[in-house]
Amino acid sequence: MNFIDALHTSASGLTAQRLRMNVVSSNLANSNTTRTAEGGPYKKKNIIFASQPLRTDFQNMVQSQLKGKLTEVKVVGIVDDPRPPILKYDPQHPDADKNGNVSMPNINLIEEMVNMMSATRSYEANVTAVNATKKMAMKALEIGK
Amino acid sequence: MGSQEMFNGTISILEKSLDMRSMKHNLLVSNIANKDTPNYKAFDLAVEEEMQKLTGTNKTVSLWKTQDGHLGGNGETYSEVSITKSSKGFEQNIDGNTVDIEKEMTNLAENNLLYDAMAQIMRKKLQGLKVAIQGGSK
Repeated sequence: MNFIDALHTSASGLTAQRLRMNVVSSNLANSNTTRTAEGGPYKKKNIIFASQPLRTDFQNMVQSQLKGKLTEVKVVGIVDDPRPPILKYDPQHPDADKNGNVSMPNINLIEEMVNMMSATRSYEANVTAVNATKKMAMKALEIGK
Repeated sequence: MGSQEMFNGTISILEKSLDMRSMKHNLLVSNIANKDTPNYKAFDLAVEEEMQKLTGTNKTVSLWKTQDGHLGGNGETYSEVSITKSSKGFEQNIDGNTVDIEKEMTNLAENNLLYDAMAQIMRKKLQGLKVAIQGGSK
């Protein structure tokens, strides 16, 4: 157990939140996209987080007291949202079907904004944790001064 | 003060405290990183209670002696500390996550301050020893 572990854990959190922010940005940017490489309108992407035991420190793997308790975040996947596209009546649109409906991405702007704010706050929390770790490590180094 | 006791008393307790605080720090950081992970359960370590246990019963823990000829040594053996699941607050997230971010952040700050305090005391203690070694000449 050491401070490097704590830094690794925070770093995994930072990476995960940044990735989440990227996904939100992608969803927001494509909220009106009707054409994609796989065909059809853009599908809202969701990110999946999972916790996994920290693998950096051998001591923790064998020491029973912290074994499996220190976990970092891992992004296990980015999946398409299952909600169907929204049909919008717009006969002039080049992608309209014969009834004049256009399939628009099912993106709820409010949902995305909330997600974005949550990601920002979580990122900040992790930055605070990194700073706290650094401060503690510096203080430990000062003991022998 | 014999040389045996030089590092035994306060310093070894401070050492323990620093150890546990850094352990707790790691747990808190892990909780914060997993703030948005579904079904993650937060962990906590009650340093004060663990220290109470330590100073109460096994303050003078020495190395294990499996044979008569073994020396006791000055160092304390690591006793098990109990890491608990964080007590459930008023609410639990819909996704089964039990991290209470406000609690974690305040705990982090508190733990940080107390770690600093312990490190400071340790430093002063060692400085005192140094002065004694030099006969107060410097």
